[in-house]
Amino acid sequence: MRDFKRGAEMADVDTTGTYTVGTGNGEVKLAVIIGEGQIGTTRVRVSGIELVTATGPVTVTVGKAAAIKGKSVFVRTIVNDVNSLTNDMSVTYHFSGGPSPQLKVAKGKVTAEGRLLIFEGTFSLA
Amino acid sequence: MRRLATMLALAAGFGAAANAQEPAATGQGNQVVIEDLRTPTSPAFVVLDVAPASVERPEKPKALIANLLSTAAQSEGFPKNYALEVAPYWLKSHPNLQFENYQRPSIPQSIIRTLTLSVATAPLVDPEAAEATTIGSRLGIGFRTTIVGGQPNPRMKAVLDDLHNTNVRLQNELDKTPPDEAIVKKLTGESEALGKIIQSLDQQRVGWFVTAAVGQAWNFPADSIEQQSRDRWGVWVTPAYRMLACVRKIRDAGDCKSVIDFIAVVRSTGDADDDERDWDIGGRLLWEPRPEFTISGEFLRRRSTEEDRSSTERTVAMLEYRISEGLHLFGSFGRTFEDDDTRRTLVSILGVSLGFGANPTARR
Repeated sequence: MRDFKRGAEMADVDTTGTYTVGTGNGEVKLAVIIGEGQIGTTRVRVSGIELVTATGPVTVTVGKAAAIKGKSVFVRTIVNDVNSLTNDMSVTYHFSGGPSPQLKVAKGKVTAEGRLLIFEGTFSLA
Repeated sequence: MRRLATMLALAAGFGAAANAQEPAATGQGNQVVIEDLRTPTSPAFVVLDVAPASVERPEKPKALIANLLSTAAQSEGFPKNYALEVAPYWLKSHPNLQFENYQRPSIPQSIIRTLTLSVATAPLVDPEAAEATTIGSRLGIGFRTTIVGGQPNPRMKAVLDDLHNTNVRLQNELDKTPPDEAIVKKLTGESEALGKIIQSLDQQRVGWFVTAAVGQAWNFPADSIEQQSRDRWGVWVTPAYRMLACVRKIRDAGDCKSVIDFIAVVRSTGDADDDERDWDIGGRLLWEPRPEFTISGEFLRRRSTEEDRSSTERTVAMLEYRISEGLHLFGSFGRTFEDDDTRRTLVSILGVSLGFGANPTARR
Protein backbone atom coordinates (compact mmCIF):
# COMPACT_ATOMS: atom_id res chain seq x y z
CA MET A 1 0.00 0.00 0.00
CA ARG A 2 0.99 3.61 -0.53
CA ASP A 3 3.35 5.05 2.06
CA PHE A 4 1.54 7.61 4.16
CA LYS A 5 2.72 11.00 5.12
CA ARG A 6 1.76 12.10 8.59
CA GLY A 7 -0.47 15.03 9.36
CA ALA A 8 -2.38 17.14 6.92
CA GLU A 9 0.20 16.88 4.13
CA MET A 10 -1.10 13.86 2.28
CA ALA A 11 0.08 14.73 -1.22
CA ASP A 12 2.80 12.69 -2.89
CA VAL A 13 3.44 15.19 -5.68
CA ASP A 14 2.96 18.92 -5.10
CA THR A 15 2.81 21.54 -7.83
CA THR A 16 2.46 25.27 -7.41
CA GLY A 17 2.23 28.11 -9.89
CA THR A 18 0.63 31.35 -10.92
CA TYR A 19 -1.62 31.89 -13.89
CA THR A 20 -2.16 35.37 -15.26
CA VAL A 21 -5.86 35.68 -16.06
CA GLY A 22 -5.80 39.31 -17.15
CA THR A 23 -8.64 41.70 -16.57
CA GLY A 24 -11.16 40.99 -19.30
CA ASN A 25 -14.43 39.10 -19.27
CA GLY A 26 -12.99 36.07 -21.00
CA GLU A 27 -13.64 32.72 -19.41
CA VAL A 28 -10.64 31.04 -17.87
CA LYS A 29 -10.59 27.28 -18.27
CA LEU A 30 -8.57 24.55 -16.68
CA ALA A 31 -7.98 21.13 -18.19
CA VAL A 32 -6.51 18.37 -16.04
CA ILE A 33 -5.14 15.39 -17.96
CA ILE A 34 -3.91 12.16 -16.44
CA GLY A 35 -1.20 10.70 -18.66
CA GLU A 36 0.79 7.48 -19.07
CA GLY A 37 -2.41 5.53 -19.71
CA GLN A 38 -3.34 5.73 -16.03
CA ILE A 39 -6.69 6.65 -14.52
CA GLY A 40 -7.57 8.89 -11.61
CA THR A 41 -10.13 11.09 -9.92
CA THR A 42 -9.73 14.86 -9.90
CA ARG A 43 -11.36 17.46 -7.68
CA VAL A 44 -11.05 21.16 -8.53
CA ARG A 45 -11.75 23.92 -6.03
CA VAL A 46 -11.61 27.70 -6.43
CA SER A 47 -11.09 29.50 -3.14
CA GLY A 48 -12.53 26.51 -1.31
CA ILE A 49 -15.60 26.05 -3.50
CA GLU A 50 -15.80 22.75 -5.32
CA LEU A 51 -16.18 23.09 -9.09
CA VAL A 52 -16.00 19.49 -10.18
CA THR A 53 -15.04 15.97 -9.13
CA ALA A 54 -14.61 13.52 -11.96
CA THR A 55 -12.72 10.41 -12.99
CA GLY A 56 -10.71 10.76 -16.19
CA PRO A 57 -9.80 13.97 -17.99
CA VAL A 58 -11.43 17.12 -16.65
CA THR A 59 -12.11 20.44 -18.33
CA VAL A 60 -13.74 23.08 -16.16
CA THR A 61 -14.56 26.75 -16.47
CA VAL A 62 -12.90 28.49 -13.55
CA GLY A 63 -14.70 31.78 -14.11
CA LYS A 64 -14.49 35.15 -15.81
CA ALA A 65 -11.05 36.68 -15.51
CA ALA A 66 -12.13 39.78 -13.68
CA ALA A 67 -14.15 37.74 -11.16
CA ILE A 68 -11.46 35.20 -10.27
CA LYS A 69 -8.40 37.46 -10.26
CA GLY A 70 -6.66 37.16 -6.90
CA LYS A 71 -8.22 33.79 -6.06
CA SER A 72 -6.50 30.42 -6.01
CA VAL A 73 -7.27 27.11 -7.67
CA PHE A 74 -6.65 23.88 -5.81
CA VAL A 75 -6.54 20.62 -7.77
CA ARG A 76 -6.22 17.20 -6.17
CA THR A 77 -5.90 14.13 -8.38
CA ILE A 78 -5.80 10.58 -7.05
CA VAL A 79 -3.98 8.63 -9.75
CA ASN A 80 -4.23 4.84 -9.80
CA ASP A 81 -1.62 2.66 -11.47
CA VAL A 82 -3.76 0.65 -13.87
CA ASN A 83 -1.20 0.41 -16.68
CA SER A 84 0.87 -2.75 -16.34
CA LEU A 85 3.40 -1.45 -18.89
CA THR A 86 4.66 1.43 -16.78
CA ASN A 87 4.67 2.67 -13.20
CA ASP A 88 5.08 6.25 -14.36
CA MET A 89 2.35 8.77 -13.64
CA SER A 90 1.75 12.31 -14.77
CA VAL A 91 -0.85 15.03 -14.35
CA THR A 92 -0.98 17.93 -16.79
CA TYR A 93 -2.56 21.23 -15.76
CA HIS A 94 -3.53 23.36 -18.75
CA PHE A 95 -4.87 26.86 -18.15
CA SER A 96 -6.37 28.86 -20.98
CA GLY A 97 -8.48 31.99 -21.42
CA GLY A 98 -5.93 34.43 -20.07
CA PRO A 99 -3.52 36.48 -22.15
CA SER A 100 -1.62 33.26 -22.91
CA PRO A 101 -2.18 29.58 -22.13
CA GLN A 102 -0.05 27.81 -19.56
CA LEU A 103 0.90 24.19 -19.23
CA LYS A 104 2.42 22.42 -16.23
CA VAL A 105 3.22 18.75 -16.00
CA ALA A 106 3.68 17.02 -12.65
CA LYS A 107 5.30 13.60 -12.64
CA GLY A 108 5.51 10.73 -10.22
CA LYS A 109 6.15 7.02 -10.11
CA VAL A 110 4.67 4.31 -7.94
CA THR A 111 7.08 1.90 -6.35
CA ALA A 112 4.89 -1.16 -6.88
CA GLU A 113 2.18 -2.33 -9.25
CA GLY A 114 -1.35 -1.12 -8.54
CA ARG A 115 -0.50 1.61 -6.07
CA LEU A 116 -1.79 5.18 -6.15
CA LEU A 117 -0.30 8.62 -5.83
CA ILE A 118 -1.97 11.82 -4.74
CA PHE A 119 -1.10 14.84 -6.88
CA GLU A 120 -1.96 18.29 -5.61
CA GLY A 121 -1.69 21.53 -7.55
CA THR A 122 -2.17 25.01 -6.13
CA PHE A 123 -2.32 27.90 -8.57
CA SER A 124 -2.69 31.58 -7.85
CA LEU A 125 -4.74 33.54 -10.35
CA ALA A 126 -3.08 36.89 -11.00
CA MET B 1 11.99 -22.16 -18.12
CA ARG B 2 11.64 -20.86 -14.61
CA ARG B 3 8.93 -23.25 -13.63
CA LEU B 4 10.11 -25.90 -11.30
CA ALA B 5 7.77 -28.69 -12.23
CA THR B 6 7.39 -32.02 -10.61
CA MET B 7 5.44 -34.43 -12.68
CA LEU B 8 3.84 -37.36 -10.99
CA ALA B 9 2.93 -40.14 -13.34
CA LEU B 10 -0.58 -40.61 -12.04
CA ALA B 11 -1.38 -42.51 -15.16
CA ALA B 12 1.06 -43.44 -17.83
CA GLY B 13 -1.57 -43.23 -20.48
CA PHE B 14 -5.24 -43.31 -21.23
CA GLY B 15 -4.87 -46.42 -23.33
CA ALA B 16 -2.79 -49.55 -23.31
CA ALA B 17 -1.36 -48.62 -26.67
CA ALA B 18 0.28 -45.54 -25.28
CA ASN B 19 3.77 -45.56 -26.62
CA ALA B 20 4.83 -41.98 -26.49
CA GLN B 21 4.81 -39.37 -23.82
CA GLU B 22 6.06 -35.85 -23.65
CA PRO B 23 6.58 -33.35 -20.91
CA ALA B 24 3.90 -30.71 -20.60
CA ALA B 25 6.11 -27.86 -21.60
CA THR B 26 9.54 -28.63 -22.82
CA GLY B 27 9.59 -27.00 -26.21
CA GLN B 28 12.31 -29.36 -27.30
CA GLY B 29 12.88 -31.10 -30.58
CA ASN B 30 9.98 -32.08 -32.74
CA GLN B 31 7.35 -31.67 -30.07
CA VAL B 32 5.03 -28.74 -29.94
CA VAL B 33 3.54 -27.86 -26.59
CA ILE B 34 0.73 -25.54 -25.67
CA GLU B 35 2.96 -22.55 -25.13
CA ASP B 36 4.37 -23.02 -28.62
CA LEU B 37 1.07 -21.89 -30.09
CA ARG B 38 1.57 -18.46 -28.62
CA THR B 39 3.65 -15.81 -30.26
CA PRO B 40 6.79 -15.93 -28.13
CA THR B 41 7.23 -13.06 -25.71
CA SER B 42 10.96 -12.96 -26.40
CA PRO B 43 11.66 -14.29 -29.91
CA ALA B 44 15.41 -13.70 -29.47
CA PHE B 45 15.46 -16.32 -26.72
CA VAL B 46 13.49 -18.76 -28.85
CA VAL B 47 15.74 -18.62 -31.90
CA LEU B 48 18.75 -19.03 -29.61
CA ASP B 49 16.92 -21.81 -27.73
CA VAL B 50 17.87 -20.32 -24.37
CA ALA B 51 15.92 -19.59 -21.20
CA PRO B 52 17.93 -16.88 -19.44
CA ALA B 53 17.94 -17.02 -15.67
CA SER B 54 17.89 -13.24 -15.52
CA VAL B 55 16.75 -10.70 -18.06
CA GLU B 56 17.64 -7.01 -17.98
CA ARG B 57 14.54 -4.85 -18.41
CA PRO B 58 15.58 -1.19 -18.27
CA GLU B 59 12.67 1.25 -18.06
CA LYS B 60 14.48 4.48 -18.85
CA PRO B 61 17.00 5.49 -21.54
CA LYS B 62 19.64 6.24 -18.89
CA ALA B 63 19.21 2.79 -17.39
CA LEU B 64 19.41 1.20 -20.84
CA ILE B 65 22.63 3.02 -21.73
CA ALA B 66 24.16 2.30 -18.32
CA ASN B 67 23.26 -1.36 -18.68
CA LEU B 68 24.81 -1.63 -22.15
CA LEU B 69 27.98 0.18 -21.07
CA SER B 70 28.30 -1.92 -17.93
CA THR B 71 27.79 -5.16 -19.83
CA ALA B 72 30.34 -4.19 -22.47
CA ALA B 73 32.89 -3.24 -19.82
CA GLN B 74 32.43 -6.42 -17.79
CA SER B 75 32.50 -8.83 -20.70
CA GLU B 76 35.77 -7.57 -22.19
CA GLY B 77 34.47 -8.26 -25.66
CA PHE B 78 31.36 -10.10 -26.71
CA PRO B 79 28.89 -10.26 -23.77
CA LYS B 80 28.29 -13.80 -22.52
CA ASN B 81 24.88 -15.11 -21.51
CA TYR B 82 23.33 -11.68 -21.71
CA ALA B 83 19.60 -11.14 -22.05
CA LEU B 84 17.75 -7.88 -22.55
CA GLU B 85 14.13 -6.98 -23.12
CA VAL B 86 13.05 -3.45 -23.73
CA ALA B 87 9.84 -1.72 -24.79
CA PRO B 88 11.06 1.42 -26.61
CA TYR B 89 7.76 3.29 -26.36
CA TRP B 90 7.72 3.11 -22.57
CA LEU B 91 11.29 4.36 -22.18
CA LYS B 92 9.92 7.89 -22.20
CA SER B 93 7.04 9.63 -20.49
CA HIS B 94 3.69 10.12 -22.27
CA PRO B 95 1.74 12.82 -20.41
CA ASN B 96 -0.84 13.01 -23.18
CA LEU B 97 -1.64 9.30 -23.23
CA GLN B 98 -5.01 9.12 -21.54
CA PHE B 99 -6.60 5.97 -20.19
CA GLU B 100 -9.33 5.91 -22.83
CA ASN B 101 -6.82 6.05 -25.66
CA TYR B 102 -4.61 3.50 -23.93
CA GLN B 103 -7.61 1.18 -23.76
CA ARG B 104 -8.68 1.70 -27.37
CA PRO B 105 -5.59 2.27 -29.49
CA SER B 106 -5.57 2.41 -33.26
CA ILE B 107 -3.58 -0.27 -35.06
CA PRO B 108 -0.45 1.92 -35.51
CA GLN B 109 -0.67 3.01 -31.86
CA SER B 110 -1.00 -0.60 -30.71
CA ILE B 111 2.00 -1.68 -32.77
CA ILE B 112 4.19 1.10 -31.39
CA ARG B 113 3.09 0.77 -27.76
CA THR B 114 3.45 -3.00 -27.55
CA LEU B 115 6.65 -3.32 -29.56
CA THR B 116 9.35 -5.08 -27.57
CA LEU B 117 12.93 -5.78 -28.52
CA SER B 118 14.66 -8.82 -27.13
CA VAL B 119 18.39 -9.46 -27.34
CA ALA B 120 20.29 -12.45 -26.02
CA THR B 121 23.72 -13.97 -26.31
CA ALA B 122 24.86 -17.52 -25.67
CA PRO B 123 28.05 -19.53 -26.10
CA LEU B 124 28.65 -21.08 -29.52
CA VAL B 125 29.43 -24.73 -28.86
CA ASP B 126 31.42 -26.92 -31.23
CA PRO B 127 28.89 -29.52 -32.45
CA GLU B 128 31.65 -31.93 -33.48
CA ALA B 129 33.45 -32.01 -30.12
CA ALA B 130 32.75 -34.89 -27.72
CA GLU B 131 32.57 -32.52 -24.77
CA ALA B 132 30.92 -29.12 -24.83
CA THR B 133 33.58 -26.77 -26.11
CA THR B 134 32.88 -23.09 -26.57
CA ILE B 135 34.23 -21.81 -29.85
CA GLY B 136 32.58 -18.41 -29.96
CA SER B 137 29.31 -16.66 -29.28
CA ARG B 138 25.76 -16.59 -30.56
CA LEU B 139 23.54 -13.54 -30.76
CA GLY B 140 19.77 -13.44 -31.09
CA ILE B 141 17.63 -10.40 -31.81
CA GLY B 142 13.86 -10.41 -31.91
CA PHE B 143 10.86 -8.12 -32.12
CA ARG B 144 7.33 -8.73 -30.93
CA THR B 145 4.24 -6.60 -31.18
CA THR B 146 0.49 -6.71 -30.84
CA ILE B 147 -1.11 -5.43 -34.01
CA VAL B 148 -4.69 -5.73 -32.79
CA GLY B 149 -5.21 -5.83 -29.06
CA GLY B 150 -8.90 -6.57 -28.61
CA GLN B 151 -11.48 -4.51 -26.77
CA PRO B 152 -11.77 -3.69 -23.05
CA ASN B 153 -13.31 -6.41 -20.94
CA PRO B 154 -17.04 -5.72 -20.41
CA ARG B 155 -16.47 -5.83 -16.64
CA MET B 156 -14.20 -2.80 -16.94
CA LYS B 157 -16.98 -0.19 -16.78
CA ALA B 158 -18.43 -1.54 -13.53
CA VAL B 159 -15.00 -1.61 -11.87
CA LEU B 160 -14.26 1.92 -13.08
CA ASP B 161 -17.52 3.06 -11.50
CA ASP B 162 -16.48 1.40 -8.23
CA LEU B 163 -13.09 3.09 -8.45
CA HIS B 164 -14.73 6.48 -9.01
CA ASN B 165 -16.98 6.04 -5.97
CA THR B 166 -14.08 4.94 -3.78
CA ASN B 167 -11.85 7.79 -4.93
CA VAL B 168 -14.62 10.32 -4.31
CA ARG B 169 -14.92 9.04 -0.73
CA LEU B 170 -11.14 9.34 -0.42
CA GLN B 171 -11.30 12.89 -1.77
CA ASN B 172 -14.00 13.74 0.77
CA GLU B 173 -11.89 12.39 3.62
CA LEU B 174 -8.79 14.22 2.42
CA ASP B 175 -10.82 17.47 2.40
CA LYS B 176 -11.36 17.21 6.13
CA THR B 177 -9.08 19.06 8.51
CA PRO B 178 -7.37 16.94 9.57
CA PRO B 179 -8.24 13.79 7.63
CA ASP B 180 -8.67 10.60 9.62
CA GLU B 181 -5.56 8.63 8.74
CA ALA B 182 -7.20 5.28 9.44
CA ILE B 183 -10.03 6.03 7.04
CA VAL B 184 -7.60 7.38 4.44
CA LYS B 185 -5.56 4.23 4.76
CA LYS B 186 -8.63 2.01 4.42
CA LEU B 187 -9.94 3.85 1.36
CA THR B 188 -6.48 3.91 -0.20
CA GLY B 189 -6.31 0.15 0.19
CA GLU B 190 -9.72 -0.23 -1.46
CA SER B 191 -8.74 2.09 -4.29
CA GLU B 192 -5.47 0.26 -4.91
CA ALA B 193 -7.27 -3.08 -4.91
CA LEU B 194 -9.64 -1.79 -7.57
CA GLY B 195 -6.66 -0.47 -9.55
CA LYS B 196 -5.18 -3.96 -9.54
CA ILE B 197 -8.47 -5.42 -10.74
CA ILE B 198 -8.44 -2.94 -13.63
CA GLN B 199 -4.87 -3.99 -14.44
CA SER B 200 -6.00 -7.59 -14.38
CA LEU B 201 -9.02 -6.90 -16.59
CA ASP B 202 -6.70 -5.17 -19.03
CA GLN B 203 -5.02 -8.55 -19.47
CA GLN B 204 -8.43 -10.16 -20.09
CA ARG B 205 -9.53 -8.17 -23.09
CA VAL B 206 -11.96 -9.64 -25.58
CA GLY B 207 -12.45 -9.60 -29.34
CA TRP B 208 -9.84 -9.86 -32.04
CA PHE B 209 -6.13 -10.07 -31.36
CA VAL B 210 -3.22 -10.32 -33.74
CA THR B 211 0.29 -10.66 -32.42
CA ALA B 212 3.43 -11.05 -34.48
CA ALA B 213 7.07 -11.72 -33.80
CA VAL B 214 10.30 -12.22 -35.70
CA GLY B 215 13.65 -13.45 -34.49
CA GLN B 216 17.05 -14.06 -36.00
CA ALA B 217 20.18 -15.65 -34.55
CA TRP B 218 23.76 -15.22 -35.66
CA ASN B 219 26.91 -17.20 -34.90
CA PHE B 220 30.23 -15.52 -34.19
CA PRO B 221 33.03 -18.13 -34.27
CA ALA B 222 36.05 -16.94 -32.24
CA ASP B 223 33.90 -13.90 -31.35
CA SER B 224 34.87 -12.48 -34.71
CA ILE B 225 32.47 -10.18 -36.52
CA GLU B 226 34.18 -10.98 -39.81
CA GLN B 227 33.33 -14.66 -39.44
CA GLN B 228 29.71 -14.15 -38.45
CA SER B 229 27.04 -16.25 -40.09
CA ARG B 230 23.27 -16.27 -39.90
CA ASP B 231 21.71 -19.09 -37.93
CA ARG B 232 18.13 -19.93 -36.95
CA TRP B 233 15.24 -17.59 -37.60
CA GLY B 234 11.56 -17.60 -36.89
CA VAL B 235 8.41 -15.73 -37.85
CA TRP B 236 5.19 -16.01 -35.87
CA VAL B 237 1.75 -14.56 -36.54
CA THR B 238 -1.03 -15.40 -34.12
CA PRO B 239 -4.56 -14.19 -34.79
CA ALA B 240 -6.99 -14.93 -31.99
CA TYR B 241 -10.54 -14.22 -30.95
CA ARG B 242 -11.78 -14.22 -27.37
CA MET B 243 -15.42 -14.08 -26.36
CA LEU B 244 -17.28 -14.26 -23.08
CA ALA B 245 -19.21 -17.49 -22.72
CA CYS B 246 -22.06 -16.58 -20.40
CA VAL B 247 -25.76 -16.02 -20.77
CA ARG B 248 -26.64 -12.42 -21.49
CA LYS B 249 -27.96 -11.70 -17.99
CA ILE B 250 -24.62 -12.57 -16.38
CA ARG B 251 -22.67 -10.88 -19.17
CA ASP B 252 -24.62 -7.64 -18.80
CA ALA B 253 -24.09 -7.71 -15.04
CA GLY B 254 -20.35 -7.76 -15.65
CA ASP B 255 -19.91 -11.01 -13.75
CA CYS B 256 -18.93 -13.27 -16.64
CA LYS B 257 -15.64 -15.06 -16.07
CA SER B 258 -16.12 -17.84 -18.60
CA VAL B 259 -14.33 -17.33 -21.91
CA ILE B 260 -13.84 -19.10 -25.21
CA ASP B 261 -10.65 -18.49 -27.17
CA PHE B 262 -9.91 -19.39 -30.72
CA ILE B 263 -6.25 -19.07 -31.50
CA ALA B 264 -4.78 -19.56 -34.93
CA VAL B 265 -1.08 -19.78 -35.60
CA VAL B 266 1.12 -19.36 -38.60
CA ARG B 267 4.75 -20.04 -37.85
CA SER B 268 7.81 -20.53 -39.96
CA THR B 269 11.23 -21.46 -38.67
CA GLY B 270 14.40 -22.37 -40.44
CA ASP B 271 18.14 -22.13 -40.70
CA ALA B 272 19.80 -19.51 -42.81
CA ASP B 273 22.48 -21.90 -44.02
CA ASP B 274 20.03 -23.85 -46.12
CA ASP B 275 16.71 -23.17 -47.73
CA GLU B 276 14.84 -25.67 -45.59
CA ARG B 277 12.14 -24.38 -43.36
CA ASP B 278 9.19 -25.66 -41.38
CA TRP B 279 5.74 -24.19 -41.71
CA ASP B 280 3.25 -24.74 -38.91
CA ILE B 281 -0.33 -23.74 -39.53
CA GLY B 282 -3.19 -24.55 -37.21
CA GLY B 283 -5.21 -23.42 -34.29
CA ARG B 284 -6.57 -24.12 -30.88
CA LEU B 285 -10.04 -23.83 -29.41
CA LEU B 286 -9.99 -23.19 -25.68
CA TRP B 287 -12.89 -23.05 -23.26
CA GLU B 288 -12.34 -21.64 -19.79
CA PRO B 289 -15.63 -22.17 -17.94
CA ARG B 290 -14.01 -20.99 -14.74
CA PRO B 291 -10.70 -19.18 -14.26
CA GLU B 292 -9.18 -22.30 -12.69
CA PHE B 293 -10.29 -24.78 -15.36
CA THR B 294 -9.49 -24.92 -19.06
CA ILE B 295 -10.22 -27.47 -21.71
CA SER B 296 -8.85 -27.14 -25.21
CA GLY B 297 -8.16 -28.88 -28.46
CA GLU B 298 -5.60 -28.02 -31.07
CA PHE B 299 -4.75 -28.96 -34.60
CA LEU B 300 -1.42 -28.14 -36.18
CA ARG B 301 -0.15 -29.10 -39.60
CA ARG B 302 3.59 -29.02 -40.17
CA ARG B 303 4.96 -28.80 -43.65
CA SER B 304 8.66 -28.93 -44.33
CA THR B 305 10.45 -27.84 -47.47
CA GLU B 306 12.96 -30.61 -46.84
CA GLU B 307 12.64 -33.12 -49.67
CA ASP B 308 12.58 -36.34 -47.65
CA ARG B 309 10.15 -35.10 -45.02
CA SER B 310 6.45 -35.21 -45.64
CA SER B 311 3.77 -33.14 -43.97
CA THR B 312 2.76 -34.23 -40.51
CA GLU B 313 -0.03 -33.25 -38.16
CA ARG B 314 -0.77 -32.90 -34.51
CA THR B 315 -4.26 -33.18 -32.99
CA VAL B 316 -4.40 -33.03 -29.24
CA ALA B 317 -7.02 -32.39 -26.57
CA MET B 318 -5.88 -30.90 -23.28
CA LEU B 319 -7.30 -29.99 -19.92
CA GLU B 320 -5.89 -28.18 -16.95
CA TYR B 321 -7.32 -27.59 -13.51
CA ARG B 322 -5.77 -25.29 -10.96
CA ILE B 323 -6.24 -27.06 -7.65
CA SER B 324 -4.62 -24.23 -5.73
CA GLU B 325 -2.05 -21.51 -6.35
CA GLY B 326 0.92 -23.22 -8.02
CA LEU B 327 -0.69 -26.67 -8.05
CA HIS B 328 -2.16 -27.81 -11.36
CA LEU B 329 -3.64 -31.02 -12.65
CA PHE B 330 -3.18 -31.38 -16.39
CA GLY B 331 -3.72 -33.92 -19.08
CA SER B 332 -3.42 -34.24 -22.82
CA PHE B 333 -4.36 -36.91 -25.30
CA GLY B 334 -4.08 -37.18 -29.04
CA ARG B 335 -1.73 -37.57 -31.93
CA THR B 336 1.41 -35.54 -32.32
CA PHE B 337 3.87 -35.03 -35.18
CA GLU B 338 5.52 -38.12 -36.52
CA ASP B 339 9.01 -38.37 -35.12
CA ASP B 340 11.65 -39.03 -37.75
CA ASP B 341 13.41 -41.57 -35.59
CA THR B 342 10.82 -43.36 -33.53
CA ARG B 343 7.64 -42.93 -35.59
CA ARG B 344 5.78 -42.55 -32.31
CA THR B 345 2.76 -40.28 -32.51
CA LEU B 346 0.52 -40.88 -29.50
CA VAL B 347 0.30 -38.17 -26.86
CA SER B 348 -1.02 -39.41 -23.57
CA ILE B 349 -0.28 -37.76 -20.29
CA LEU B 350 -1.93 -36.97 -17.00
CA GLY B 351 0.07 -35.21 -14.34
CA VAL B 352 0.33 -32.77 -11.52
CA SER B 353 2.47 -29.69 -11.77
CA LEU B 354 3.88 -28.00 -8.69
CA GLY B 355 4.91 -24.64 -10.05
CA PHE B 356 6.50 -21.64 -8.45
CA GLY B 357 5.73 -18.30 -9.99
CA ALA B 358 4.62 -19.56 -13.37
CA ASN B 359 1.24 -19.43 -14.99
CA PRO B 360 -0.71 -22.50 -15.92
CA THR B 361 0.26 -23.87 -19.28
CA ALA B 362 -3.15 -23.59 -20.88
CA ARG B 363 -3.27 -19.87 -21.32
CA ARG B 364 -3.46 -17.79 -24.39
